[in-house]
Amino acid sequence: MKFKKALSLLLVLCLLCTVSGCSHSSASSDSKTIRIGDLFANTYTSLDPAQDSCGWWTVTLGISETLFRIDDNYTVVPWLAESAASDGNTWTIKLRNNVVFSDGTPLTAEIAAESLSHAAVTSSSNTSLADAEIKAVDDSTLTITTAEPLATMTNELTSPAYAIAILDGDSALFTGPFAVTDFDPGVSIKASRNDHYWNGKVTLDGVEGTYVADADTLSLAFQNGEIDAFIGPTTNDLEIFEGDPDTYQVVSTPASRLYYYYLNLDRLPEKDLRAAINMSIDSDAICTLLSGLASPTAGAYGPDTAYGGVTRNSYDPDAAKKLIEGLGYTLDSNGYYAKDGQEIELDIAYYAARSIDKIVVLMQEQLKAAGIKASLTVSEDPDGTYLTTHDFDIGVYCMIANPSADPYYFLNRVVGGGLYTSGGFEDAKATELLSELYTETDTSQRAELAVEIQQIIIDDEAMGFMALLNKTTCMRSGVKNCSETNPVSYYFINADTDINS
Amino acid sequence: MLKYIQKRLLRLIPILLVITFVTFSLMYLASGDPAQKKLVAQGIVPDDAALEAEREEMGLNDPFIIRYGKWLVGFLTGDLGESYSNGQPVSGLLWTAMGKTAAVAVCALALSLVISLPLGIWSAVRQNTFIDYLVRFLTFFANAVPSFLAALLLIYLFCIKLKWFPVLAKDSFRGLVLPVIALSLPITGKFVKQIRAEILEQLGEGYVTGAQARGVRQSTYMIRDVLHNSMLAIITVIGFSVGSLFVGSVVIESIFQWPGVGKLVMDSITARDYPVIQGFVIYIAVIYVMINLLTDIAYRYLDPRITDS
Amino acid sequence: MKNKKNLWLRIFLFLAAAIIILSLFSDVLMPNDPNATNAMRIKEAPSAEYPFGTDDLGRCVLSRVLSGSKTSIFCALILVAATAVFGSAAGMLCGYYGGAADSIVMRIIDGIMAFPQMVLAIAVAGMLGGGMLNAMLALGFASWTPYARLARSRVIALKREEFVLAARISGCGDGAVIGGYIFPNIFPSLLTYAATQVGTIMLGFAGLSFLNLGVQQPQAEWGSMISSARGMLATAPWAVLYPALALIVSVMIFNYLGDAIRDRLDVHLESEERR
Repeated sequence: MKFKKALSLLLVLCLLCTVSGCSHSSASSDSKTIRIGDLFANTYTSLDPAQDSCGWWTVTLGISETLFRIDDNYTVVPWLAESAASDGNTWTIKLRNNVVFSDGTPLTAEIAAESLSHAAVTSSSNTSLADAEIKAVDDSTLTITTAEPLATMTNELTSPAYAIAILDGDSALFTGPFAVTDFDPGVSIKASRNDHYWNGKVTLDGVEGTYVADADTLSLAFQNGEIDAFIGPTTNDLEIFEGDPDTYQVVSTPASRLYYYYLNLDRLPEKDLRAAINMSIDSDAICTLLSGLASPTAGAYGPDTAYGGVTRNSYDPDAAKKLIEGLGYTLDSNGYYAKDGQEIELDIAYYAARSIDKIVVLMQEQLKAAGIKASLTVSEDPDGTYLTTHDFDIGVYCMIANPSADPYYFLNRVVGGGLYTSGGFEDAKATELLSELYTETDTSQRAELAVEIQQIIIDDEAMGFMALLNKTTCMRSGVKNCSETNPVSYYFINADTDINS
Repeated sequence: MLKYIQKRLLRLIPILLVITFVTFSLMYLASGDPAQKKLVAQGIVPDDAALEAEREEMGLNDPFIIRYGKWLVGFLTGDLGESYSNGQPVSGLLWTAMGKTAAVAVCALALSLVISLPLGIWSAVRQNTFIDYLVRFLTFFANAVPSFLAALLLIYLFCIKLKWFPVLAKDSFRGLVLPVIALSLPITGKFVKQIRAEILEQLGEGYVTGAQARGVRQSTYMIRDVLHNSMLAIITVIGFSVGSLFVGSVVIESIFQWPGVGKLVMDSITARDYPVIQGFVIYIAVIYVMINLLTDIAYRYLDPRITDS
Repeated sequence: MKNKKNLWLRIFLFLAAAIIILSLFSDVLMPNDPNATNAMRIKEAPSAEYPFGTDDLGRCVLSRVLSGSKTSIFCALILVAATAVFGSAAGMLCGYYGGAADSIVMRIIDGIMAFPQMVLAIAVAGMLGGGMLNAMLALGFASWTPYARLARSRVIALKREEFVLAARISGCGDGAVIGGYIFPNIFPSLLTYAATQVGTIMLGFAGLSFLNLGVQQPQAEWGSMISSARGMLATAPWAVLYPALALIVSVMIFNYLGDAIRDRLDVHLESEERR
């Protein structure tokens, strides 16, 4: 019996040890530090903003800054720069004279030119300056010369890859309100207030970013108070957070991440069939499914933007059926349209990120309602698989259509050739308009061109634009000023961000 | 004994050859064009010239068997290549992460033993009583719950509802508690089952009946004989649990964001960082084989009945 | 003792048969189309129309649990049967004939068994990509070896037994010896091992689903249902708990059945079982 007693004692002791770990409550120190979580894979891999998408998170955390930025109204405004003027192929950019790096070094045109030249050749996400000649003219003026006139220079310079940095081996200096103190690649980053900050007082003492690979874990850590703010909740999170407004604040801002799909023109040569497909997909239902996370759209950009004025057939499964019947198909016993005993069967290729896996299931059902049979094929890496091989009938994709407050970025990708011109779309008129768009400097003229190109795509029934994902910022109560009304998702922590404990 | 170890070590050579061959072929087939994967992982949109240059540099134009040979030599000298995504040596990444995983795994193993030894013995001693049925039911239950579900239920209960522990493990003792419990759960189920079976077997042996007949106290013969004789089986069980621990760590570390090998390999699968996945598979296999070898050696060392044959 | 063992065996055989029959007739029992989405009726609590509620796509959870029983249970049973047949055949042939082929096959088996089963399955599934067939191939590749090793060691032992020697001397062909004398003797061990594997394989599918290497949407499978609804524990617990309950109860029944078969046949499995 003694033996059993000893064992039970041991067991109780062990349990006590385990539980005692929780007796100390989390000690919050006096310093005001905001903790944010980031879902983006490979987030914290390097300090060089031009490397991969690293510029993205240095801007997110208020560490780096660019020459120009996009403001809450989706217009480009100077940031580290003061002004810019174009003269054909050459842009002259004047820098602010009060900008200093976090060690006190003043920003000169020479430093900026060196930083941009490095990014121009290093960055793979933004290649617009790859062949540009970047020179410092005097202490505060630099010129950028391109082979072709680049009308959207200031838009391009808002790209986080072009953040201004002094790079020295593995370390880097930036001009933002926070300066890196502790960097654990792939895991986390800590930054503390930059006492030399050029643009006013920095409210917080520091910022801490953690890479969290799993969306549910991130949400749970946020609910448990280990993360103070993050961008991009799931619909489930939204439901929980909105149900408890005393603890959580959720702010949604229309943004520009576009859900769309390509139709394979080689495999679906009949235009009426493509039109029928487009008329069977209900954008509104997709947005209901993504409750509050997305807004419906007809074109590639939001209806409120200057280049959003496109028209297309509305959702109408009955009209879709008529179109299919017009092609000689009849409904078979399974409820699908068929010709000569052959059912229409579409292959929807997709990848399981940003709720696309849910959207495609809904699309499949919507097509079924219009008598079109569809199967789903998931890929890990859409760029390396179906976008390259064109092995799909409907290829679903998701891309930030408007990262620099200008329509050229997206249209160049889907019309101008290359990986994202998928599904065999080719149109001489669209290509011509695109090259006009590249050089056109007048903003309203640009908007018109952009609308025209989108309308060609829509009229050819070559793609379907479904929804625009909002930028949704989640903050625990007491957190303030997280750029939550700015439409660009990499503006987050800034000098005014505050937290009340 | 030495002769036996020698023999076992020799037998390892063909096994290691098969392991390395299987691992290399898997990744050879999986990774398609590694040059393209590497460039894409580095965020470069590859063109033909860049691809060809990269292929030449990576030695991809060599025939399969030469590439396997080169890779094998690298592996034997501790060089598993470099990660596609950040250019760091794979072996370094794995060793750092392995330490973190070992910390959680050892704690989980210890917790499992501490729980399963008394439960297994108790349930065996009280065979076919309510306690036995209850313990067995719990064992079967623990064996039937997917570990990701168990981890999420633990988080939901202890973090969100009770606020006892943090969700993100980070480097704190408190953060480690839940991953350790979640990782130990399925192993505990297996341990209890096997310890109970072993003790039952021992209790049926003649010496126990003899001891009972002589009026020896239960605690005396339990500790002196039964437990002592069960040690062998328990050691084997621990040895075989290493595989489950590694698999569990892939899921558990991804959920709790613990920077061990499990999370490293999940991140690498997402980023299609094949050298790291390859390194992970080969390291796990080697560790697994080594631990099985040690288990067998310990088994022989402890059990005088087995002779060299 | 024996009666009691028989009783347990009967109970679990009955329960396992009940689950299998339920899943066979799941098409008839489903109250709704398991794949029909409804954006207007997302995450509804259980009601008369949707007895287990709806998931985040407005699909009927009960219908999906029923439809998923086919995938989860049948795929596991088929896989166990296939690996058992293939592995035991390979093992019996190797053990019976021996020679160079035996050595080669055994080295391959040693190599495959050097990997923890799920680590290898994850690697293979990662290579093949998602989908139920690929998941089955991955798990199958990793799980046929114990049968082969078990069958081989038993055959080698049996070959020296008198009754086998007698049969061979009396002129029975190799096929007749294996089929008539050896197989009936090793069948109980193989059956027992196979029975304990059903639950393991079901959990293996669930694990692959969590890592996005399991079934393809919209096909229902319990593991992927739990995994994709796991974020809804707070907002729609029924979408997680019902498939979880189905999975846990089924795995437990099959594991109990495996144990009951082992007790009844009084088979001792050595190292294979401990993995």
